[in-house]
Amino acid sequence: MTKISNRQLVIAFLVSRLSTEMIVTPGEMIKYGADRYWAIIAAKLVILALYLPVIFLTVRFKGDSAITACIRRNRIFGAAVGIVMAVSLTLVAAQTVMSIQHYVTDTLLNTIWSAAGIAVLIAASAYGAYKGLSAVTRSAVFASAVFALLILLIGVTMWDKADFTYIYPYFIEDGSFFVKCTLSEISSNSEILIFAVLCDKVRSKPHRTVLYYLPILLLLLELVNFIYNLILGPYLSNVEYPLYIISSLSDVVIFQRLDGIDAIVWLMCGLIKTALLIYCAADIFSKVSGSDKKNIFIVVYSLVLFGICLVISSNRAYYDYFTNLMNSGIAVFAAGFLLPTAALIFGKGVKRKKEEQNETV
Amino acid sequence: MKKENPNFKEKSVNTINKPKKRLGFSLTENCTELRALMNNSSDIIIKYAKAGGYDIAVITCEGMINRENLANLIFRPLTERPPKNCKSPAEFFDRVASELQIAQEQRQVYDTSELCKQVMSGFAVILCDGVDYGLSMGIQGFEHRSVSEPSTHVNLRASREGFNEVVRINIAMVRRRIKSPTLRTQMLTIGERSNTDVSVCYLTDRADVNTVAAVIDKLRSIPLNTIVSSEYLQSYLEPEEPSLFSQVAVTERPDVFVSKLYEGRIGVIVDGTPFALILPSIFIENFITMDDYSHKPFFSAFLRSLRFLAFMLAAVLPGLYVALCNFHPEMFRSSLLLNIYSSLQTTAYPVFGECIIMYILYEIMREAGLRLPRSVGHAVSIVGGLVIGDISVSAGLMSAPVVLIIAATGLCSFAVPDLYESCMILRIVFILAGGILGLFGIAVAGAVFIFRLCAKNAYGVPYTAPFAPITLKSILRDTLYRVSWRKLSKSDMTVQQLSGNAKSGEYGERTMNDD
Repeated sequence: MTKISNRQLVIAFLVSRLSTEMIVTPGEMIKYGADRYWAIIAAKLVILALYLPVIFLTVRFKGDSAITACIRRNRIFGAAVGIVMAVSLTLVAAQTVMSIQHYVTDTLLNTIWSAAGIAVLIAASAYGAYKGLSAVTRSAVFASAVFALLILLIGVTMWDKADFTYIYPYFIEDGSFFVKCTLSEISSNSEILIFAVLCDKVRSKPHRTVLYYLPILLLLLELVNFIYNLILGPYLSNVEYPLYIISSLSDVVIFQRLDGIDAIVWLMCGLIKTALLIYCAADIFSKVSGSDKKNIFIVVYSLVLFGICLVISSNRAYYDYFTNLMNSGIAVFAAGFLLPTAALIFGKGVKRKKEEQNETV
Repeated sequence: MKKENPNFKEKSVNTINKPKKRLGFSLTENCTELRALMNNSSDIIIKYAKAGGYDIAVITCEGMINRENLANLIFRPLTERPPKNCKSPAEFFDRVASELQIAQEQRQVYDTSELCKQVMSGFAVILCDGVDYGLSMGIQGFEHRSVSEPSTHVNLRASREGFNEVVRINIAMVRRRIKSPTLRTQMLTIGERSNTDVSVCYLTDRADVNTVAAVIDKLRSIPLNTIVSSEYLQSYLEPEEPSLFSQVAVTERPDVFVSKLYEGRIGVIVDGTPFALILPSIFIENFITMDDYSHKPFFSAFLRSLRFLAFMLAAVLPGLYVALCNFHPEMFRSSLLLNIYSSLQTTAYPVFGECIIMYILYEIMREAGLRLPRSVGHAVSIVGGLVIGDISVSAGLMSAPVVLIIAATGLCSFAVPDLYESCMILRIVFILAGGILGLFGIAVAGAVFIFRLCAKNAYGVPYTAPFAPITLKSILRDTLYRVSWRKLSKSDMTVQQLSGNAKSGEYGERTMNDD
């Protein structure tokens, strides 16, 4: 079985999370000012709490994922957990693919037929998943390097446009906005689902992945938020994709704007995230069915995902409902927290049962 | 019923290795059988003589032996001072083998197929009437090219010696550079008909035992009849999945070969070609030359970064240009945009078509210049440079920026010669992707390319190591940046120590910390 190091998974998670951050649509969720700095910190604390069941699970069952642990205890329960997890992953994957598609049509190629765009994206991601977990996580290293380069370019070229009065630490005037922003941050962390599935693919000490990932992510998001505030200031709430807008304002010697490069970087990050999600779903089906034909699952799942994306994107009402559902963080909470907790409790239950039996004997 | 043409049954024409038949006691019969086995080939010379009162025959292959050695080391001792007072032919032959120091390389041959092989490898085989085995003497002396400067991978300050076509001379060049008992060379004979000598070289204390065994197994199982070049073996040593990038490096330089052996790699030298194979090879090595170790570290870092940039430009630049012109012109600087569009206004084709046509013309010119004699090659350059380059622009067929882009791209691809073929294909892919889908296409093609690149493992070593998976120690040691010799000499690093390397079997990821 292919195993990866926790360092690789951390980089893959960062890329995955950054892909979400690069298309953050501020609207009512993000406002200029100090709120988001605190919201990010609060969200990370909540997310750490959400990760705890998975961490305890991997420690207790010696690196097993929730599904493997459940299947070992009871096959039907394992299958049920796997299906719920796969559904949650599918929702996140669909959201990711459709957001990429919207981003592409909004910024890069407004002439592309929606279904064709979705098909190309899913095909590329499925190819990544087909090449394996190592290929996807290694690719994340290159994507993160290009992202770092982009941020550096933006930082250097936009320095003259930065206004330090924009980061004046305003007090939180409206508590509801802080809560909204925190919730948005929490719901964006779909990596918890990936971790819940892939923790048994980490070579040693999988829980360390979370311990490395969250602090680095916190710093990165604060940095990106700092750049948003510093450059966009009060306009932050009015723009759709802040990093894209900042990139379009950047001016390096060769290119007048960097938005195209931003789009390429984001697309790569998004494809890596989708590939990870597809791989996870295929891995779940492989575990539940006991079959090692993961590549077939990848192909079938990609076709199903394509169908779901087409259906959701075909109707504006469906799409809005779906977006609201995903923004509520239900997938993250259900599959990232509740399922591992259930697995953890079920494992204890089996142990207690055995102990009781031993006592009776 | 369809009859099979016997000429197409490649395996059946082999008459050398099978059936193995033991030599008999009759000299005449043995020689007749040999003649028959060799189809009475004119280059097999059988010289009958009498030595010590016994009939002998010396069998050689024309042009494969050193005539002086044949006269001085075989015929003279046998005829002038043969072993005396022998009671039987067997005793005579035993004493010839033990008392006469004819040649350093000497062995006994018991069957006809082995006899043929020895003769065709340049050995002289002595047969004696009444003895059922032969004595094979190493007096090879065929004509070969002398050691000269390699034609590829030319360096400024590194060694001027290059491998030549003789495997033994090549092994000697390696041995001269590694005077250590840990250097092991293992000779194999591959190719059912060509019986090509192939030497597998490695350092026993550095190379991974399982990888060595895997390489030797792969070499032994190669089903080819004839091997005339190392590239024949290369495809068998690589994974079966078709790939743009080779996981087996090729070098003509003994210094490069030796330095790779020090890094725990395995070298394969094939008789008849100056190009040796080194495996496993990783991506970053394509940007490293021997000269980099002669220059100052900062200059080496600059050169390596330049080569990497050249590779990126060679692969992506035309595609990016097409994508920007067609879909994202706002990315160009205003003045540049005006220039580009004014030139595009005067041309007949869209920029996508222009790029494809120009690129194909460029590749045709390159191919034509490569295969023609040098004197004619200059004419091709003139035709290419002046007629196609200049006139096509002034005639309004091509725009000047496209000619410039393709020319610059061609130049860039020569900066990394080992990746030329890969670049060629990638360039076309990116032109198509950029032309059809713009930057979206470039991003998707780039992602697929990176997925593919990252999925490769060469004998358990990730092809993208030490960048992905990350081994910081290696990245900071000798990749795009090279530390000074003082620091390099403090610690050794082999390919087995790279992150993600699975020493055998399981191709999983592993970091040095995990160990």
